[in-house]
Amino acid sequence: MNLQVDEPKPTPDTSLVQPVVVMRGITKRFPGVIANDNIDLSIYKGEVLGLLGENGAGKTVLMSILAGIHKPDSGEIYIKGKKVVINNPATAIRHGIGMVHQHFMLIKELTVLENIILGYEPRSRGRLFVDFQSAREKVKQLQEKYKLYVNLDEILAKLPIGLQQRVEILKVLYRGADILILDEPTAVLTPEEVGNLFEIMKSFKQAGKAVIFITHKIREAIQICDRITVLRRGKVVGSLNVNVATPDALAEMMIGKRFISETIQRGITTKTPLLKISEVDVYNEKRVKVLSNVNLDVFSGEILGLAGVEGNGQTELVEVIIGLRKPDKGAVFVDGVNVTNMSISKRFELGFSYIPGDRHNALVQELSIMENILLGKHNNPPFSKRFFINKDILKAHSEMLVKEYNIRATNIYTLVKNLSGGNQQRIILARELSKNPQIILVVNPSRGLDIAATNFVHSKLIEMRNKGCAILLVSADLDEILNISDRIAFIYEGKIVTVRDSNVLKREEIGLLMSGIENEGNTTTREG
Amino acid sequence: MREIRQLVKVNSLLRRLFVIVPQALAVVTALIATAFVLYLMGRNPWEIYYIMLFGSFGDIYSLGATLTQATPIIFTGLGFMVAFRSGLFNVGLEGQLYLGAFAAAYVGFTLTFLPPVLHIITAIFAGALVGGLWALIAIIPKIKTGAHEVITGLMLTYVAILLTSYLVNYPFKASGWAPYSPFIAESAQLPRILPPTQLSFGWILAIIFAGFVHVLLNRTTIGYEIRVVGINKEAAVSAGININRTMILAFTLSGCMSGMGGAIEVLGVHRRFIDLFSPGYGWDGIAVGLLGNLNPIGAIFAALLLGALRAGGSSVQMITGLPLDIVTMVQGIIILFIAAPMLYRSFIKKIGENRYDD
Repeated sequence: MNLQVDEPKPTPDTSLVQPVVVMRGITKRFPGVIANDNIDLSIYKGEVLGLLGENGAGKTVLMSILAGIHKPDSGEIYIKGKKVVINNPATAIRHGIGMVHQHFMLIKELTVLENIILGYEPRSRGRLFVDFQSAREKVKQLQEKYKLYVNLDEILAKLPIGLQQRVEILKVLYRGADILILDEPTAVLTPEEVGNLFEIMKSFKQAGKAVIFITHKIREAIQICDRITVLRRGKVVGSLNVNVATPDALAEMMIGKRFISETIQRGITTKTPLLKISEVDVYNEKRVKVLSNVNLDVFSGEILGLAGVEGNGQTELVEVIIGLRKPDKGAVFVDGVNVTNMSISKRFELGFSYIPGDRHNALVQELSIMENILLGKHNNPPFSKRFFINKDILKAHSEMLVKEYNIRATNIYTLVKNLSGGNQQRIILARELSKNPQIILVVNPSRGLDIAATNFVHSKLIEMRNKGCAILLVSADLDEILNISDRIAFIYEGKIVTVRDSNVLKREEIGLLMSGIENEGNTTTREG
Repeated sequence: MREIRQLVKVNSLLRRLFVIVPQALAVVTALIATAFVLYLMGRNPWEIYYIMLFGSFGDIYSLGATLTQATPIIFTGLGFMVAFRSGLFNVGLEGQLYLGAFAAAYVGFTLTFLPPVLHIITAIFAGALVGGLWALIAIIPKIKTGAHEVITGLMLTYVAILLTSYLVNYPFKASGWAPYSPFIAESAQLPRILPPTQLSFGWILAIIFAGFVHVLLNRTTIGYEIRVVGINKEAAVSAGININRTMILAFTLSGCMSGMGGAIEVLGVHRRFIDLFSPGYGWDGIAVGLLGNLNPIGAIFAALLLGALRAGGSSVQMITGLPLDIVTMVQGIIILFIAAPMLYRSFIKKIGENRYDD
């Protein structure tokens, strides 16, 4: 990064130039919430502006206003000094604004090239035919210029997420964007892909484009941005040049109080594993081997983190453990008992708790908080007796959990779909952890949550560990794994690369281990 | 992206009323549309509607006719609802109704040694059992092979109707020219409660049964599992619920209810099995289930409405010579608008709800 430390204003050569985008006094209300409250923001040519804030801070709404998706209730937008009204995405595109959404707006069945040119196809022969040749050339040029390589003739669905994102970026560039908005682009990427993305962002900067990087990850913001603007509860807390921005300061601006990352005591573990996965092989529906010879021991009183890039067999492994999938070979043992052929409900009786990665698989959105808390407990006393649900006990239990887990809702009859992601996750935790589980299987528990909610989830998991639970934490978020695991297993292409104690793990090793490279011999070092 | 859906805070009573808005709109729209058609036909819509209203609630005869018509469709409506709540579409109700009716009639005219109340119970039970079995035959292929329950249910309906037709035309035909079964024994007859109309104790049973289904769905673990499976199968599996078992159970129960409806129609109204006796009570069950907002209590009111339309429509036919099809038309339009709930929902959403992303 070509940062000039002494400059008071953003980047050196643009400080004299007027900003490309000025947003002034932007206010946007949604029923019950002020998403943006009188926000002022300037964006300069050739800079990467970080828009940092927790979930719900109003980052995406603000940029959606710039991209023509939402209309502000009040406020003005100036592009290159001229006042503009952006009523729809097409107008935004005309003004050179392009947004790469967190959920890609791509069509899976079409090829990469078709996706890129969609809606802006060059025509030939009397406007009847798409001129793929010239489109291809134009896209190729963009690819060369920004090193955005991806096979243009591949069907989109066959590409990994990281490449799909490139297609999305190419699409925006193809439409002539010179103000690029990237909404949480790193959320779906592997560390290596994040590095590549940052390189691409730098090349945009050098080409004189303005890049807006929406994120809630402080480390990434510092790494790539020239300037960071922090939003909290719909307001701008402040803007910092990156040379004066420290993680501590940013965290404080984001959450409003000093954020202490707690140091974690290691749990006390037993000698024999409570959960044992032994020589498990799994072939998926396409007869591809997705797990091969997986051995894992989880001891009571520990959190074993399973780290790896998504899609390396984690999903299948979790399904085998909980009983959603039968392994082709191998077995799962709980306290020495083979449970491989046991039904899911039988496993729950043995003391399993399962927190799936997708909240939609754990909650019934159209039912109330109370009825969601009942899920999975509904056949157990005291919640039901001879088919009849005991509403009084359920009500008391639900009210207790709502209080204990600080679930914010009008009452226990509120439908789950009306709650925020954080509150939904709290319901799942409340339900699963109140079962007094022995073994907790938890997947991406803090995905999509803000810092406060994430801390809550982690402290609850640690509390359960200290009570003697065996916890298997599967997460795509490396920080999460590093923060709360006692031991970490790395999975790559269906194989366990190694298992390490987390306190002896060096950060530099992690990238290698996640890509399946295990150089030294100091594997599993569990002291009993 | 985390999508937070922000709803306007409406108090719960208002929200409950909100739920029936699409239903009410559908009914009103259907009546207006039909009035328009009547007007085009050169009739006075007000006059026709007045006759219809009088013919359905105007005196004791018409009230009796309305409630009699409503009785079987409460049962089929409840049946539709229970299956639908588990995510299944039982369109085989008509066939299950026919077989249930025949089974009840058979018990009614053969097991004549049974004492009065027990005889009725046995006959209703037989109707439920056979209706349930017929539904089971329709749902097993779905669970085993993935065959769609709409196809199997629909096909088996024709089989059922023709089967009962055969039975009443040949092996069990009473003497005489008409395809009737023998009368059931007096001990199997449900008492008439509003003479001289045909209204029988079956109406009371229907109301009680709706309450029973309400409790089943909302207070029992079975009903809870049915609802969870119907809304979110992944969540159900993750919670250890056996979704196949739950779906089979819900669908079979659905068939039982339709079979009961047929049984009560035989025991209370006709007192024997008549070939092709149903004017479409099974199909009406779909309408009742949807119009009743998939709620057992709602089903009673929906059944009353459809019963009133049928009873009133008969009066209209008698007095003005307008064909009964006019009622079918009203029903058709109601269903059309209910089946397009997106239309109203999105309209209502625009008023009350807004969503944003962050």
